[in-house]
Amino acid sequence: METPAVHHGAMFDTNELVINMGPQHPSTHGVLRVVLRLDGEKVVDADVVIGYLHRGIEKLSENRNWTQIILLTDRMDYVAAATNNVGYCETVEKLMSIEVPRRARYVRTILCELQRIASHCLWVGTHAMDIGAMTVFLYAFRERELILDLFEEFCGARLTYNSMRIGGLPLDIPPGWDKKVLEFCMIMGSKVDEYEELLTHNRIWLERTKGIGIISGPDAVALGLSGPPLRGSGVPRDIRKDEPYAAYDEMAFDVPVGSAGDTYDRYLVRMEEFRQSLRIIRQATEGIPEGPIVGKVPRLIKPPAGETYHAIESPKGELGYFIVSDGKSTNPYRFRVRPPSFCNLQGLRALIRGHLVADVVALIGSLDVVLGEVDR
Amino acid sequence: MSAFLIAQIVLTLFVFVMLLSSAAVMVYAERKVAAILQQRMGPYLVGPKGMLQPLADVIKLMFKEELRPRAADAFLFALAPMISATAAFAAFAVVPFGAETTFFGLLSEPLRLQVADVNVAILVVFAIASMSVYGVVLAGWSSNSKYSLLGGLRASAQMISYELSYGLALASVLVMANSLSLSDIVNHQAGTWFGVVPRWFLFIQPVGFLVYMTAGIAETNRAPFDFPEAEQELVAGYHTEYSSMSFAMFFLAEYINMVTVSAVATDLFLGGWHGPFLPASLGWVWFLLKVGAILFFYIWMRWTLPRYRYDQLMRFGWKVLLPIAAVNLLATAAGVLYFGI
Repeated sequence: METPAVHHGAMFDTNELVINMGPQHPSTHGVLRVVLRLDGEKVVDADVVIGYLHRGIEKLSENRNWTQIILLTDRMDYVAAATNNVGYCETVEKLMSIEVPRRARYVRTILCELQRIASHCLWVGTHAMDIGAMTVFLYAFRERELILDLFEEFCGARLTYNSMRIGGLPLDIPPGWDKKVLEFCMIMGSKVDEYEELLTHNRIWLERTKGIGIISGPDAVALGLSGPPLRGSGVPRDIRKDEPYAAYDEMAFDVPVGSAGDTYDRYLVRMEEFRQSLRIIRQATEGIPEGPIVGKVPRLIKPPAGETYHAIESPKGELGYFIVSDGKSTNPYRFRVRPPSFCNLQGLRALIRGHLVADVVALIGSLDVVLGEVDR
Repeated sequence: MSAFLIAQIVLTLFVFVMLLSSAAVMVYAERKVAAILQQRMGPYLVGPKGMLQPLADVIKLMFKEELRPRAADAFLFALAPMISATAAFAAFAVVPFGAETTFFGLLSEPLRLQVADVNVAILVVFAIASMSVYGVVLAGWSSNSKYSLLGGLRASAQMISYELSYGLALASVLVMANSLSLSDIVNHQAGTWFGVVPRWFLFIQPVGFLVYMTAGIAETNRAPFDFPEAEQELVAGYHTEYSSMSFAMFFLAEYINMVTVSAVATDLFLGGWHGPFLPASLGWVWFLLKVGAILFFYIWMRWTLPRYRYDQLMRFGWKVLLPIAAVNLLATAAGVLYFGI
């Protein structure tokens, strides 16, 4: 940690400047705190401080029954609440060996992909805004609003959905909902092109993102990165493909990967994921099978004694749940989350070292962290 | 004579008030244009179509508490916004915005629509623009805050490096007009070529115009060169610690600087008040239209483009813009010598 101060000469006072960026700063996405040590505007070293949004969700979960926990998982990655719900429910289903009906799995897939688009909308907006392109933010929120409307129609909530139950869905999709989803896919396809028009070939955007925060594939794996930051470095790891859950094994889609591992590649990967998600949503919506929405679930949910880990591909990376049940009580003995944001944030220090202050905000945006998930 | 003097004083006051209100109009225009670009409503509650929003903003700012960090240098902290605002107003004094007029025969001799017709007007604009950097630097330093300091440092480096290109672009025009007076330069652009193309310097000096506008945007710290106050990086840059009316002064200075840069660009490159269809006495309408067009461009840029990075901006300024401006000046000088324009 201790790096000696840079000396340019004895004439001037050349101490490093320590800047406390956050927890209240316009572009640290909530309550992230980064203590920067600067030489001029160059970052010599940085300390990432977290914990300002800690609510003790894991400990809290050990005192709630299995169904009540779904509601708590909403509060982790609050821009992709349904994905958290799916991840948790599938873990418990795995622990209890519950078979989920095909219809429920299809709807789960649709919801997860809608969430991915909503989360990426928020990301493209804030990332562009951090680099100074304000308008993309409002464009992206315009489309995110459409997704929130779809969710509102499905489960009544717009942010924290509580939209899953162990063994299936709380309610069937409303009539006509699938048509609205397809309509949304039509709109969204052209809107993604619109964002790309503003950014992808913009010279300023290229200069700001190309070659910034390069991380090689092996380094990314060693740091435990997952999701788009990992795929941006050229590692084709996607849990939807590698260990399919929900109905992903029945869907045709590609996993975009980058090559350079810089901010621009991570940007391109996410932009392509928009399109792949739309592809999955279309397939799933058109192919929703008829049938029940909940599997055979006992009235009292009490998983047998044992432990399990199950991970899904959340918009931000590998979202894993580790759950231990003692088989006696109606609440988990141990509940632990492997949040993608937290693990990806570990890469920040390595990424920003040697870059300029302006790049710090670009890189925070490029990792796409949600502090609710980092701190839990 | 006394009528002339009174007219001059009235004109000066008029320009002052108009500049103040131009800042208000700009605030409203900026918010409305941004809203349209972003498919929002923009201000619409205060007054018809939200047109009194700037007034509401000013009232709000006036009633806010004036805060000063305990460690700040009290004198310089108070002085900095004043320098910024004063420099912004002063630069406009030499900018002509209409042809000579007698106000429909009210005055015995024609009066120029200009506060002061200085024969070295270009140099005055240039000198005062350089003064405004002091406001920003002092604000950044005296606040005794790290973000402010970084903002102030960025501003001084940026303004000084872009001043060179700015100056060279100005020089290429004055070589062609053979005068340092802005009125002379404007009058040099009267008439048309072939009866269609107006004799604006824009058409002989397109490179000069581009360099001038780029440097002008950097000079006024507007996006995509708004590093000194880069919100996402430095919170608010040099005016992070300012509040209430001293913040308003920086805000005012920013908008008035934009108006001045646009007005000078109009006089230098777009033929000032000369234009077809309108009689000479209504030349100021053309002037306002042209300034408005440039200001719209300013706003449009800000809400469309991402921000450059500070070192990229410096590299661009020294390695691209300055050589272009220098070559342009040399080429212009050679052309003037050869063709004897």
